[in-house]
Amino acid sequence: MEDLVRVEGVTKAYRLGEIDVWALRGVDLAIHQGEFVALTGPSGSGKSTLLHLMGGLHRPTAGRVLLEGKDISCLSRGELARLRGRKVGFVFQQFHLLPRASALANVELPLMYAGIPRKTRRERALACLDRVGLALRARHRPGQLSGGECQRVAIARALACDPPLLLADEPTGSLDTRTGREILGIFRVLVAGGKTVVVVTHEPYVASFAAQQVRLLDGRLEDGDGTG
Amino acid sequence: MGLGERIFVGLSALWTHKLRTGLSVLGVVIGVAALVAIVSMIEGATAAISGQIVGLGARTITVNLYPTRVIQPGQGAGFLAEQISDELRSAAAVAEAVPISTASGEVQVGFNQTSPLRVVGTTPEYAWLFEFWPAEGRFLHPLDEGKPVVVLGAQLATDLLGPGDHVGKDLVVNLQNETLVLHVVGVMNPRGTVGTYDVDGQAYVPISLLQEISGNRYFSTYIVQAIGEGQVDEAVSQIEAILDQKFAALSQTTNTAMRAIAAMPGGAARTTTQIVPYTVQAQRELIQAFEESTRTMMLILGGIAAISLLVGGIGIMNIMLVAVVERTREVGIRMATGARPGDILGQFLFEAVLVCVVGGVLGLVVGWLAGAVGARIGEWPFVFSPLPPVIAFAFSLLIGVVFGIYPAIRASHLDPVEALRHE
Repeated sequence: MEDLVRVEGVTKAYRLGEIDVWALRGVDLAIHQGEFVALTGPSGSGKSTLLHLMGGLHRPTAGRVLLEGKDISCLSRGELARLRGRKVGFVFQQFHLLPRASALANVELPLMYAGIPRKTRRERALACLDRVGLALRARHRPGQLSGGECQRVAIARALACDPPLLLADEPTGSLDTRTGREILGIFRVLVAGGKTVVVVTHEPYVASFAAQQVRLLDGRLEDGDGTG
Repeated sequence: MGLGERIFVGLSALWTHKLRTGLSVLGVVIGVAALVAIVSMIEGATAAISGQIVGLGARTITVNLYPTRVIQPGQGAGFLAEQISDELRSAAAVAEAVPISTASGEVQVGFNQTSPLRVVGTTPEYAWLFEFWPAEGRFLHPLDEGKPVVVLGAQLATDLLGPGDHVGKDLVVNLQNETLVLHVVGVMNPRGTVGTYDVDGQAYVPISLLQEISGNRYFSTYIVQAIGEGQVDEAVSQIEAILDQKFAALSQTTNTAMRAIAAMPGGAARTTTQIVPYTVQAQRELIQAFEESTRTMMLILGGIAAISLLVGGIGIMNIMLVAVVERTREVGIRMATGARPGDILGQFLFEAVLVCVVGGVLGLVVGWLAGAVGARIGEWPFVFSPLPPVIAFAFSLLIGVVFGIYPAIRASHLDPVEALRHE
């Protein structure tokens, strides 16, 4: 299988006041098309940072990140934004929906930035909401939806531009276990349909849904077999 | 993202904070309204005043003689007021010339009570020259020469004698330490101010009467009218020729005066710098001077209005900076879903411009209303000109861009991950 994502010798440092904090200290990882990967590790191990790097929200301090064989480590901010819109869908723990916009408008957001005309955009957004079972809730605002429904809107948004890669950062962290399983069920269906999903989690039941597990500790892969 | 969509996104963001948006709009409204009102009022007042000056006539020329500067009292019999006006009138480009002499006096309005009075001595042609006609009785007549008769301005008549008939009444007037009883023969139509003359508040007497009282028959002011607006320059040079000739003739007969003049550098009366026996000023120059002072006024008031607009702009910038901080997470969400820095910049800049343009439109309306009220109070015409809308639109757009760009740049420079973490 082709590598969808390749991470090569990546380090990432944050500057906190006077000192540099190393979130990643040299990570090599390959994720193939159609995989369902769980990134686990204690908090502060750098798993969220790794996820953000794969999705182009960050640039690595050193090393390379390749998406579909293309080096994204040195893209400009604008090019990264375009990449995030078309190649990657993000799902976050706090859903990160625009509170004053309807579910439909939230799902339309990436389509709008991708320059899709209004009518097509509406149709595609509705189709995505339908895929997560929320077609009837399209006009509701996030405040009028349950946590599970909000996360499904967020998944619909991540799917809107039909990207090959879905990156989920603790997607079940704000949900009860039952709802969390429903969300993971949706991911499983998406993987079966050919998507690649990477989930950051520290909950064992979530990791059990994934076919592969990669464990991080102090900014390094724990057992070095993450390339599988 | 089309324009319509940007407007929609901008409006809904602004609508979320109605009060705050309203207050920022108000800042721009006040600034733009002040600018528009000032421009509109100055245009109106200019139209009115230049109307008055033009009412005095663009072909009007004012001639002032100072013969006492070069001749001794008792000499220069050729400088009698009527004589000079006859000579000026004989010039080819001159249609009419009227002497005017003014004096300040007091009029008795009751027992032991007086009120100040401005008396204009002139000739009957004055009415013709200004197209200024009596409402009651008649104006001065050639037969009035030297007689104690008076014609009152409309306002003066009501102030002194109350409403009703005024012709036939007598006024006791103190002029140059002399007490006169003046017989009212007419009251003029109300006219307002003509040029710098408050024609409704003056009293008109035969110039010969005023000269007899003052004992000075030589100096005078003449209002001259050229035969056409195109002949003003011609008339001016003809008048100067006539006066030069008169003063030259004077120099041959009065040695005392000429000795004084000859001692000056340049010799001739006209060219000396210290003694100028006459001035000739076309009305047009007065209009130019007036327009210049209007322009200065416009700059000063416009400057003040521009400052208030600047303050409004700073308000916009402040509120946009607050909005950027408040909506940091929204910026993060938009960036995570594919918004480029330019999209974020455009969004915030567009909101600022939208606030300013809405403020500009409202300010234009408010400014026009204020201008209309000002026109009513100041009794000048309300002028609809293309300048205020252009000013309102250009300035509000400018303010929006200038003060919106910095907050918008800040928003677009946010780091997406940090923005998403922002609470």
